[in-house]
Amino acid sequence: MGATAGIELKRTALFDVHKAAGAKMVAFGGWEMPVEYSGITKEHLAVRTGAGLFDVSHMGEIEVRGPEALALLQHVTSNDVSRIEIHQAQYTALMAPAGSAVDDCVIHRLDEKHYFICVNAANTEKDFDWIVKHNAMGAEVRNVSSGYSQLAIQGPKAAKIVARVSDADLAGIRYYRFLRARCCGVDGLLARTGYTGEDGFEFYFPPEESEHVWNALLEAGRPEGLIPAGLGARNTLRLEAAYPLYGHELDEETTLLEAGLGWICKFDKGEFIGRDALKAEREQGLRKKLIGFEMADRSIGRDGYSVLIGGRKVGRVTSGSPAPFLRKNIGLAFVPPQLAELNREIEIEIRGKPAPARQVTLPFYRRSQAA
Amino acid sequence: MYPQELLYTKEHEWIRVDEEIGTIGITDHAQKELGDVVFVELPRAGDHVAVNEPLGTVESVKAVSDVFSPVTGEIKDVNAKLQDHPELLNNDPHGEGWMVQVRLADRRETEKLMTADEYETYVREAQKH
Repeated sequence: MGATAGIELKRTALFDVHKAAGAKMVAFGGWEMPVEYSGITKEHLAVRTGAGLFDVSHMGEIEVRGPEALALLQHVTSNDVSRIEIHQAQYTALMAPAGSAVDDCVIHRLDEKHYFICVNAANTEKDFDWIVKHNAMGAEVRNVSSGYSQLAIQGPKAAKIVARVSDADLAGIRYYRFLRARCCGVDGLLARTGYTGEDGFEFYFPPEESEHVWNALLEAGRPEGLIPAGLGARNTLRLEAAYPLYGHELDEETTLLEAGLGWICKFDKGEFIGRDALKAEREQGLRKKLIGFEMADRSIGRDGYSVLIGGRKVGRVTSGSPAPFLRKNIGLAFVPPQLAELNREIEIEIRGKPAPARQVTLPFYRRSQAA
Repeated sequence: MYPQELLYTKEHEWIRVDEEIGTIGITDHAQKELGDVVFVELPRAGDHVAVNEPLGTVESVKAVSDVFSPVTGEIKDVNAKLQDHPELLNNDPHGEGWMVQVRLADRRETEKLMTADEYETYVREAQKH
């Protein structure tokens, strides 16, 4: 734990605010970020039952615009960018030739020929270079990460809280839609997106307004029990919702099909990087498959542990943790496809000893009603 | 903030010595670093533990951590409450959250451990880096 010697960590505009709030800070993706404030369990439950506020300003932002913007994005991503309307967002992946993800990301269509991509912090430079490298079309590509703070307010009470501090018509912003809106007196992009499995918003705005927006949102949400939440809860929340995390379920050795992201592979949209590899794998069969598991006892199968069937090592856990809302110990793992079978018993090797577990349906958690 | 009657290790365990019996747990600093404790794995009464060898495991939501024995001896008792209430390690690490009692094989082993004041300085120094 603690600072990593020799590596210069970046800090968001809210670093001092987090420290003053008593947050425990950790290195994540090249940034020094709050992992928890009042405790992961408490923060996790606040998001499931009320609301939580996350500083996710470490995330990167890349803009692509111009007459060739669509052609460039269709070439470098797997989903069909032509299907999104202005003020609509889309989950997709920046693709490598092997059918794997350079990164997973969310594309927002700002205007007719103007897109705004939210990417993973640690991958921002890599993503930007990758897009530029494939930009034979001549679209305008800019890394605008330093121009944005990003706060995520998530939970069933999030909309009620945001309604108090924004004049935007929130009912008009459906899931994966966004607007240019004023929130806490600050102009930015207000998107109905998130990484927790709950309803909520992500607000992109100028970094110099960070402290004001952070404090104003916490103040507005006090009656609903809004509390600051860190990357620890963000991880357990996304795991319950079975959202992939780059570097865990996704990397350059794993294809989108193997990671269960076939739904963002739009083969009928035309050529894109990695399309041939994905088509071939679809026809020849997967090399591995992502499964969900639940521990049968109180032991916890964590990232990197081996999956055993019949005493033989058959796979690896990519993410595993206690699930604070479900009150179970859950995880995601890759296994050979012929061994992926609902309810099939497996074992997780924990400190040299096999612990019983069972394959279960994904996601582990699904909120009861959509926004 | 660290009780004077306890002795402390560099791995953030504490021990309270009464005659030949040592009661062992993890420090307040350790529980803060771990965060919410959700599972504690303990040895059984009668097991033998050796100095600086793992005697148990503490799992929090975020991490798993070995607990090392500050002394050599035989496990006399374990805190059975931790099975259903692992949060005792967070709420009262130096009291109700005790983990095991050991019958000491060699009391001189405790002479190398830190006093409360020494441990407090040690934690403060470690946090600067």
